[in-house]
Amino acid sequence: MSLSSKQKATVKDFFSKMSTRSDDIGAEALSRLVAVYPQTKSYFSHWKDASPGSAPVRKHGITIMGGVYDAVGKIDDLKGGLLSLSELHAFMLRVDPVNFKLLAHCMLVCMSMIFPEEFTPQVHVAVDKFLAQLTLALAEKYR
Amino acid sequence: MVEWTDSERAVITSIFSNLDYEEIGRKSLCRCLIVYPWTQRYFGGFGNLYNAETILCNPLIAAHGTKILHGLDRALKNMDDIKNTYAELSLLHSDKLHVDPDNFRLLADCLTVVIAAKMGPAFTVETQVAWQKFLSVVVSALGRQYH
Repeated sequence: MSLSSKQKATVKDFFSKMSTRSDDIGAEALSRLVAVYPQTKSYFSHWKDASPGSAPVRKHGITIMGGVYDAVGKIDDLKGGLLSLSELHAFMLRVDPVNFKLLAHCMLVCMSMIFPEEFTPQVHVAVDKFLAQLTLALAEKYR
Repeated sequence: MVEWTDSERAVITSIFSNLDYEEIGRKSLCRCLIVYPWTQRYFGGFGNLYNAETILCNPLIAAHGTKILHGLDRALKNMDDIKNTYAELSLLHSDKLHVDPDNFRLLADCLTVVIAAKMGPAFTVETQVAWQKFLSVVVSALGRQYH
């Protein structure tokens, strides 16, 4: 399920449109992840407050979204481009990859909320595919 | 039995009372068929599904989307026993329609995205939590009678 060149262009275009609100989307997406899927809080037991909307959650959501934007720039070689991030997730963080899918869903919901006109079904499928490819690249070093 | 708080019941009831079944039903089913094209396998008799544009204009798909959404009314009216409310529908999807139950989750996710677009900032974190809880109970009930 790799991206066609048209879909890559769609992803780059939509992320460019989204850039003014990318921090909000990142912060909201992680808040919604821990709210809708409370089991994901297990990865944040070292924070004083891992509740939706808390400062550490918002800050980390912004960090993650920064990583996603970085990946857009590496869309032609995600595996190569995300090698060190994959090693981090595989050997240090050891986040079960099923959670990447859950976060991707929350990101899509936020994109849809904030850009209802632009987040057409065609944009949705391209972004969903991109996030799935990102997930695969991130899990590359797991085993 | 699933426990619902008063606030969760209020959220779900409010979403349904403001729902345009035709618009949201059509948009959700179309989005599912476009984003997860393998779901088109169940719609062989529904005319032209050649690309996103034809799917979005297809009146049979639009009508079916509305029908599906009205199917959720039953869960709304019987929130304390969604499992039994959908027992028959679950058997239908298993024995007659032969739908892989994972598709219920895919459609539910598309419905969430469409409702989020419609409600914008009103689709708060608490709203999403209650809404997705409701849908996950429905999805579970619909898959329960598969054998």
